[in-house]
Amino acid sequence: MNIIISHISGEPIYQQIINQIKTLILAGDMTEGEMLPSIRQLGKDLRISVITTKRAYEELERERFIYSVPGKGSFVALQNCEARIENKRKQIEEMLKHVIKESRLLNLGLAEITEILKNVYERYDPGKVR
Amino acid sequence: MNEADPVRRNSNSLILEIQGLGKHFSEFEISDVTFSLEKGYVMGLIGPNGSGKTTTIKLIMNLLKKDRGEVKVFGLDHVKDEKEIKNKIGFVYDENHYYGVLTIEQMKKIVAPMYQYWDERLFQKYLKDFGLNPKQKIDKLSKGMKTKFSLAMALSHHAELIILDEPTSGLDPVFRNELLEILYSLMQDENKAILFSTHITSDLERIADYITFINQGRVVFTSEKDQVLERFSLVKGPNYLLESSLEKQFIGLRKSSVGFEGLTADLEVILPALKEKIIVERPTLDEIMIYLVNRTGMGVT
Amino acid sequence: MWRIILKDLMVQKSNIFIILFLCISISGTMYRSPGIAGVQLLLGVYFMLIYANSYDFKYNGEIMINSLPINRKEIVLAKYLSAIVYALIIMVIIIPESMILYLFNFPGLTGGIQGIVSFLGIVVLLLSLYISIYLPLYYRLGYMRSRWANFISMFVIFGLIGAVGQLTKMPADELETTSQGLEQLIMILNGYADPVIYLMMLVVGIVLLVLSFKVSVRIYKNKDF
Repeated sequence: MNIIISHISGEPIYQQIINQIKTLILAGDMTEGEMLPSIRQLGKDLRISVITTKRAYEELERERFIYSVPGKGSFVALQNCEARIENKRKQIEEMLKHVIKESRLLNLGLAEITEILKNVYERYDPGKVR
Repeated sequence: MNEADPVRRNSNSLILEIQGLGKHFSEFEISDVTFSLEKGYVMGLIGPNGSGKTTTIKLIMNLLKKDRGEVKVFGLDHVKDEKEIKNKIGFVYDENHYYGVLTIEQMKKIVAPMYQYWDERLFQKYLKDFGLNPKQKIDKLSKGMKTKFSLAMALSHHAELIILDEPTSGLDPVFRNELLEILYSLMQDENKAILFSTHITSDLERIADYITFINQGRVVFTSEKDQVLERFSLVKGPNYLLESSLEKQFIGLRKSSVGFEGLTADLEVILPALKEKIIVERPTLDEIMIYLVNRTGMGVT
Repeated sequence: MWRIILKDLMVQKSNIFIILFLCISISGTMYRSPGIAGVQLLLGVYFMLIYANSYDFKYNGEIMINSLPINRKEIVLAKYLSAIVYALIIMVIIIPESMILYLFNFPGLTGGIQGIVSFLGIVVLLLSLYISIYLPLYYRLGYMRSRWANFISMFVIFGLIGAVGQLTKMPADELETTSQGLEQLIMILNGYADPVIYLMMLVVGIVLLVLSFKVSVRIYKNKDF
């Protein structure tokens, strides 16, 4: 498992860890039942605080990407990949519905919404300084 | 910015509990110092020189007699059960107080039997790892080697609380890095805790789980390090954007001829007012400390 | 606590020569007079005590010692016992040395076993007196300022040694010229057999030390480092 974090990107470190582990799991680079490093080992390897790694693991566990066995460690949970991806798509659809609703208040049509989307897409890079 | 102690969740796991600690000196005063540390975590004690960090540590170790307050280590009173708790405390101080005229081996012969859980094998391992020659007189060691020796002594009796007071001042980044590595390895054991006082905050930026900031003898805040770094923002922008009502939202402002830089804890209030001609960054612990110290009247903003 | 005494001994390695010189330079003291032996022992203990304390001062070692699992009472006890250990070390050197010289008929030595017993009795008392005065002062004033106090108490005790030495040598009739009270005291003392007197001295010595110890502990417990 390779995790690379940036201290200067502005994105909270625990969030970077969460995202990277999620990506690894969804892409199949980590298999079900595979053991993750302990929060302390991860803290040491990444040279960050143990509270940060703990927070990341807790969030991952909350979202059912991993599970923990007390005394043993944390493991990759069984992923229902298609269900997850479908879930995420549904979430995005909901968000878009909200956007469309707001745009209607300003009488924006599809073309204008698409234009705004393009602009924001080009400018928005979660990896840059905020 | 005083915050209730965030660590007091589970009393059983508290390795260190300080409540209302105070002592009066002729020119200085420690007052109402309160913070705790759970086992398994690292607490950084930061503050400018002379702010009271060393004094606080000496009070914990009962080297200085407190005027008031309560200090519990491993749940025991730090004066009544002094001997018992010191068995499990490893200490590394800024200056070397070991008898320099003796050799490492001789010093060890004096100190080791005083500890209940002295581990000779562990000590020899540290000597080897640190490159220390047991027959060497302590006086003849360089500052870095003296600190390493102190560390070897502190870590060879299965101590559960390691207290370090400015262990890296005067030492180069290479050594400071080595020390961090050692501390990280130590913290693999979740029954240990480290209290690390320093004015070189970059050391703590990585390993610390909690930060207690002491200034002029008082605790300015004690908090999770991540929360501290997330709470504050460094805002930089052109001078014309500032107006007096906005300035109040900043903890500290530095204005120059080419723009301003300020620390704020209220980014949500400031952002809309400043629109887009600004840069917002996460501050380092150093910057947070500098702005907070200057705000309490020790310098010019 | 014994380790702290060991520490005080270990730092003195280079002091050995002075001590040996002191012991050997006044040879066969046991058989000369208790006064001289007393001075010799006192000087020896003085040097060793001062030397050990100077290292405590130089390295600010008390900060380290007080961070170890030991309480303040034990630290003070170690200091008192160390002074006694120094005295024993010196006695171990000069008693056999004196006996050997006596056996080989070294000139100027008189007396027999008596010499040793009287030596022990008087010297124990004087040593106790010295330690009982010096150590509380050392704890109260710190190393630097207690050095002059140390010096002065030495002089006082030398004076006392001299006085006692003179008194015990005076024949009974000459005592009448000295003060009445002293005469009576000497009369009373002379009424007891020698061993009893020495036992009394031992007891007084011990009482002094215990009182001094309590005072020192009180001072040390409140000290800030």
